[in-house]
Amino acid sequence: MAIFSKKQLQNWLGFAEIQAQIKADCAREQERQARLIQQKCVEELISALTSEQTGDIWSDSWPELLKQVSKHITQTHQSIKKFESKQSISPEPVAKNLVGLPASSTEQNNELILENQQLKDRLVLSHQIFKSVQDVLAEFNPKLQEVIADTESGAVGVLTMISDVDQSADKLVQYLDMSFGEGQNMNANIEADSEAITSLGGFLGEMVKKLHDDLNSFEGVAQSIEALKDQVAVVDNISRQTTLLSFNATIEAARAGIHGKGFAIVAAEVRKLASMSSEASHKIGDSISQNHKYIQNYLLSFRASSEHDAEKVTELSEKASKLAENYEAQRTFYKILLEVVQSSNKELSRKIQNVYGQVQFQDIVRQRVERIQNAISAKQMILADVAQRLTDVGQQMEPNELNALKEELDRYLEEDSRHNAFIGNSALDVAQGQSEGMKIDLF
Amino acid sequence: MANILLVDDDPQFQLMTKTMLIKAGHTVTQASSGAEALDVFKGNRTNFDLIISDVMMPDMDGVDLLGRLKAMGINLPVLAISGGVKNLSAGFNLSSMTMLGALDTLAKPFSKTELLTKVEALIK
Repeated sequence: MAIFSKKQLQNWLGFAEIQAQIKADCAREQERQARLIQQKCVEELISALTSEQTGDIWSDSWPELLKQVSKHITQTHQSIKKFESKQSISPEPVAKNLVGLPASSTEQNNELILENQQLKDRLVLSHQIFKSVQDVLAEFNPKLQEVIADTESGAVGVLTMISDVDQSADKLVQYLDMSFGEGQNMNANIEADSEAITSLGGFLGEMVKKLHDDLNSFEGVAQSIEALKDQVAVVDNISRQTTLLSFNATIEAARAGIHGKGFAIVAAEVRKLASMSSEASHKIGDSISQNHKYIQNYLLSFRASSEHDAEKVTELSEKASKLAENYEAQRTFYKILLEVVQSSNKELSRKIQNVYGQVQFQDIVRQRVERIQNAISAKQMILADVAQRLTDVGQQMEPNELNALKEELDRYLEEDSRHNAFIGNSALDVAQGQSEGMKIDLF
Repeated sequence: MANILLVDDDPQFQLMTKTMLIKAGHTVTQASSGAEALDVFKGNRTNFDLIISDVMMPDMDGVDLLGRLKAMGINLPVLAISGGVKNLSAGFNLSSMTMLGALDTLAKPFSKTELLTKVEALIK
């Protein structure tokens, strides 16, 4: 039996070739595993990005997942680098050992090195893209936190303002209730005093009637006195006839002795006149007495009536004065009430405007969320394209994808900065901001 | 100690209130109507810490005074006082003043302690 040295035996068995083959197999396996990990990471990422559930997209686990993806890619990258470093040393000795072996083995090895280099480039670019996505999400997260905080503070603001409006309105209602009571009391007083006006009307009616009656009475007295004129005329006639008779009697007396008969006729006439005179005197006396009595009675009645009327007038005057005071009070009451209601309405209007402004601010928050949503959609499209390229080995990776992501992020940040300018500002400020070129839509 | 503008048309009541305030160490400027009080402000006397104002006064009442001061941008604390005149209750007058921005109210007649307690609280 021939004795071979270990080296002879190894060369004879082609051990070096086998060893190189094993190394190459190991490297392929490492690469395969690395690709599997990479593919798994990409699939997870795509699955999460294309999910329609917002909660999935904005899950808190996102940053962690991206870290893991980045870590896997880095590990894969390191494994390949490690493999390549071994390959960069090993090909030449292996090639020496492969002398005499089929040329295809060396070509395969070179292809593998090239493919590994391409894979490395793709992985480096993928790593950069995922890093960029991580940066984007890192930007979105605080922005969304800001939006949530703004929404919360906005909602609290609206509630506080509405509560303030409610308190003011409640205060006004209480005031109006109290004023209503005050007004009712005042009306009751005015109604009570307004009876004085009715009484005054009745009293004046009575006074007119009484004056009419008094006029009639005085006319009666005047007629009675007028009637006395006839009696006075009778007395006057008697006086004239008595004078005449007296003159005749004087004449007849001169002739008494001769014509005594004629004197007797004169004397009879004088007696007759005396009788008439006496009767007229009685009538005049009676009439004067009657009128005097009537006037006395009237004066007594008038005095009593006047005292009563004076009391009545005093009472009515007091009531009328009180009524005037009540009307003055009511005028002041309504003036004050009007001023308070007007002032309160202005205050309420101002507060409601503030609520309206705050509600408009909530709409601005909605626009911010909408911009984030639009930015996500744009990024999703870019990432879907990247994912397609990553899963398809034949596709070339485009460094422009990375630039597109960066541009998209920059565009979003620029638009969002316009919104940030309005945080804490009123609707009026926002409206004024429009003139400065701010792209905020107000309703 | 505070610089106080006292607005009241009743001379006796004004004297009594002024005495209470001065004895407590405050400086008091008097006005007998809302119109007079406005004249004080038009004369650039704005260094007041407090206004004590009656409600019902001739020329210009307390309600008008508060509205004018607001329009002039003067936002000093106001203590409204009222005894209820012209058939209007003190409650209505004082509530109206509160609605228009008076920080506190005091119905007439009031004691020295009541007045000074309210004043101290308002000038803090």
